[in-house]
Amino acid sequence: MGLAEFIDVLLNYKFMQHALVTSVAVGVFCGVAGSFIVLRGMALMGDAISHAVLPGVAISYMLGANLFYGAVATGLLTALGIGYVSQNSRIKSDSAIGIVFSAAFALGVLLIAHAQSATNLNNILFGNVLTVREADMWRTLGVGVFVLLFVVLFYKELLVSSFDPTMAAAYGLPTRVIHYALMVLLTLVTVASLQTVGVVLVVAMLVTPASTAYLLTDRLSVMLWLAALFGVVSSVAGLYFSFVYNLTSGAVIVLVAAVLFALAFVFSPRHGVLWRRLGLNWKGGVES
Amino acid sequence: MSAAVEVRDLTVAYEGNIVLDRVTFSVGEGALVGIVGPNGAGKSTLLKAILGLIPRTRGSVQFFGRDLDQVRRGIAYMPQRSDIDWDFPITVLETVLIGTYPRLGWLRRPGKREVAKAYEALERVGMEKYAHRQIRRLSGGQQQRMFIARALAQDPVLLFLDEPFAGVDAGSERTILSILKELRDEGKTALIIHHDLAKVREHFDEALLLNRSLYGHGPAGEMVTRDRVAELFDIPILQQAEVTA
Repeated sequence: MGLAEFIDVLLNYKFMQHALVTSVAVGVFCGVAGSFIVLRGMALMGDAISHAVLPGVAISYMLGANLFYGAVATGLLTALGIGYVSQNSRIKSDSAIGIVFSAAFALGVLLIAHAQSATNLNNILFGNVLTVREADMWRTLGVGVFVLLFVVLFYKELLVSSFDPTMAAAYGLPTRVIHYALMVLLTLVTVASLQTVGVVLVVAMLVTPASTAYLLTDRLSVMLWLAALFGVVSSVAGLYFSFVYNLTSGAVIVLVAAVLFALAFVFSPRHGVLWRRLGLNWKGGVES
Repeated sequence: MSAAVEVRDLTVAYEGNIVLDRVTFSVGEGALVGIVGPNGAGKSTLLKAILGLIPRTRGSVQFFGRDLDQVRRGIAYMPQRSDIDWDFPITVLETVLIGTYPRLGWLRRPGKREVAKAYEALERVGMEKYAHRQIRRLSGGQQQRMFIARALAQDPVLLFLDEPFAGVDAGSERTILSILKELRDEGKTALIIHHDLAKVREHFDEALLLNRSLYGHGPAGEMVTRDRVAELFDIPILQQAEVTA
């Protein structure tokens, strides 16, 4: 099996076309949403929210309801719970995150086991992109359009509240509302990435392509494009390897993203380790 | 005529600790007001509490006789250097452009007019040739001039500046001071946290002496004297070089 057969299947079978479209969409919206997660220093929070989606998914399955309702509910409850614990005790926020999200995740594991007939825990945790059906594809595309629309419409507000939250608040932006809106976005992104990367590894799709992009540019708009590109390359590579070698798609996607990051970490013209080690300065330093 | 800023009985407490204690003062239009006091005196807290960025335990603040929400778009705030993520992927021009956001409101994007305004502000602080540079790759003085340009792009009536002269070279300091004086002469009011007492005395109109509560408020020349400053900083003998009364 190889590239030729992959292309042959892609041209002739609907399931592969659905998987490809879904992979591309996941790469794009994870890269774009992830850029703001990276710049706001919310990687740990992103990890927590994505894990906390699990009990919501399980409950939705059991009730036969749309996955999104349950996922957004438990995702947001977790975000609020983390905020409540850290603000009302001496517990610092990283510990609060660890406590609340692992509890939510554990509950999710038990609930999913209970609802086993409906789904497969392994696929939810680590993704199986080849099981994407047409309805899943449309749902993922819908989330993609929503995420991109949100970022395009509120680009200015996201920029200023990420870069200088004090000024944003000073001129009257509701910075807390923006924070929780991003949390909602995160839960949507997680649910939409379920079948591709899975709950456990989705944080890598949020953080890794965006970080790679961050090492390569000094402009937010360029960073968003690059992050989307690296996200797509990773998720399409994941699809290819999982089909050709029968590997878990989530794990492959995350490793490809990590390899891209490692390359940027070493070779980035301005921020790479290599040039710094060699004592070279690519272009400009501090000018006095 | 109502004062530009009127602060009454402003008290801020964190978990039972009083950080600001019943601060009352008012500042008229067209004044450069220096806020001085030792470390931990609550200077930044005062600015943030006035702007509603941290909750007030007690007290009220009015601007031109109105509430904060009616004037906030015309209030420029310059954060302390340490509050800024200098690695953020943003250029000098984009940073200055943020100054036009408050008056744009939601959804509207900065257009040609806003970009022209940002360039104009950059020219005024002598920074136009650095427009497309990432903000980390500037000197300390250039970084502070950039934030002054951002404040200018906002067309502010009031300015709240947290240590704008920290880490600034002599040239940048002169530029920033002359712009502040121009703004003052146009009738704008600026509250400026400053660590250099001699400079406050020399260049500012009024001084607020703060150490959790207000120790004094009046013309800078009368406020920044040996005795008052010794009392404010709680040191019995002040070193000669610091202030010559």
